[in-house]
Amino acid sequence: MGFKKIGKKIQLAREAKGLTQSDLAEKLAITQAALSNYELGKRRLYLHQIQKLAEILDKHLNYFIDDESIDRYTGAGQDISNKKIPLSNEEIMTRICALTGEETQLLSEFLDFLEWRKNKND
Amino acid sequence: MIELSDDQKKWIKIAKNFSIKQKASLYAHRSDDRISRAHLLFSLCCEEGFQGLLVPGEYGGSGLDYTTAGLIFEELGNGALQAMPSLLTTIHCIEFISIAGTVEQKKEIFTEVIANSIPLGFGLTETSAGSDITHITCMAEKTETEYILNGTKAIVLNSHIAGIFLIIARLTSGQGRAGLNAFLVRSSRPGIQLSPPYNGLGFRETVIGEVSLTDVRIPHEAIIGDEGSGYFLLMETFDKCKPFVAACCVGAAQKVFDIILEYTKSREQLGSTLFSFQGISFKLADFAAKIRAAKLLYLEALQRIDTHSSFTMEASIAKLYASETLREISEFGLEVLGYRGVLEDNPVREIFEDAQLLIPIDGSSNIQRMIIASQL
Repeated sequence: MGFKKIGKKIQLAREAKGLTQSDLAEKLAITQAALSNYELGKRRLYLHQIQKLAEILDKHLNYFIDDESIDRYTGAGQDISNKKIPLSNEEIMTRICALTGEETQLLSEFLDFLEWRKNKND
Repeated sequence: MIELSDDQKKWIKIAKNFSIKQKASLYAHRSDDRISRAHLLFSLCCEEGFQGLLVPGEYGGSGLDYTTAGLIFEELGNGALQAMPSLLTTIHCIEFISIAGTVEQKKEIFTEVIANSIPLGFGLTETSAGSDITHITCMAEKTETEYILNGTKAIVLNSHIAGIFLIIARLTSGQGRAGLNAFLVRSSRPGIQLSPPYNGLGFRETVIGEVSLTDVRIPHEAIIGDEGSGYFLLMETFDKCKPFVAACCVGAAQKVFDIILEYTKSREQLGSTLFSFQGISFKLADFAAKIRAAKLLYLEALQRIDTHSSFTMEASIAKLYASETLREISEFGLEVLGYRGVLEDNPVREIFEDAQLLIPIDGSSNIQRMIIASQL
């Protein structure tokens, strides 16, 4: 369902802003549990709520529903079968060290996503 | 126990009386064509103010809460089901405008609908986009002064009687939820072409047809909400209107129930009434419970909307349960009535046929199941 992806987008934008769930929930005047449900896609967001979120998180409405921008984080839809996957910790660390600050932030968000997905599936 | 206020009782009485009035009018115009009868039926609804139930008083409406409107829809579903597709479609469009329309749009459109009894048409479904709205191809090109719309809407309720269409189109090419928007388009705009109305099963006083838009030019003020808001607007409108569809289904199911009960208590076979056989009476006992439950479910969903509580799952549960109950009882009604049930103008047959269109409004049962499952 679309609202799971929207929830993930909210989480990514919130973390990029350095906000905790409690911080953002307070700004939205909702409970942290309600925000958690939004981020997990367990509760639907309606227009006035997503507009308020967009304003706080400095995003356009399309950011939350644009499939391409989440695929950038998740790799969904891409064929990775022929791509080299680094196996050694050393190689991984070398590549991380070569990243810019912004790229490191993106990697951090992606790791958050993987952890979130793992916890969700556990 | 459901306690009704004096105002709710008054409205329910109006809706009950309306069923007699509309039956008489439709009978008097039985030889008119489908479009004329659809116009007539909507005008009759407007005489009672049903099109403006949810519109605030400042715009000429009754400004009722959702719960009271639901109770009225249940009564109309019971006695005037034929009027519901046209009325529900107009209510859906009004909901769109209420959520995100500007004051100017509200003044203009609500005045047309309420003072001038103009029905609204809803253009969402395309040949390859229905439940999955990500495949909508109708395009809105933005220029400095206007939007130019191109595309075809395959199934448009009120196609030939609407004065204004609400058209869902995308501002950006491609697929997905981003870029979808709602636009108000007058049916008189150059470039709009209507196919002849479909002749489908049920709802003989409803017009449904294809609407093509070729270089239809509309001003920038015709967009509802901010650019990119279409997806959220659609979801909110559907979720808020699902309990109304559920209410109609409850009313229609109750009517079938009453017909079956009366028939089985008077019809004798093998020396006893049909009702004395447990194969019939136990089934009716189940339906009595289901109809009662369906009513409580739609009322719960509407009360949650009225009190600004979360309502997504409750709306889908209400719609799923009520529409499946209507589907089951109308099939059972045909089985019990036998040959009589399939005769032309038999009310159970009419409701069975009408149910086939009513049930998918705001999403099929499987769509409701998907929404409910996503929230578990």
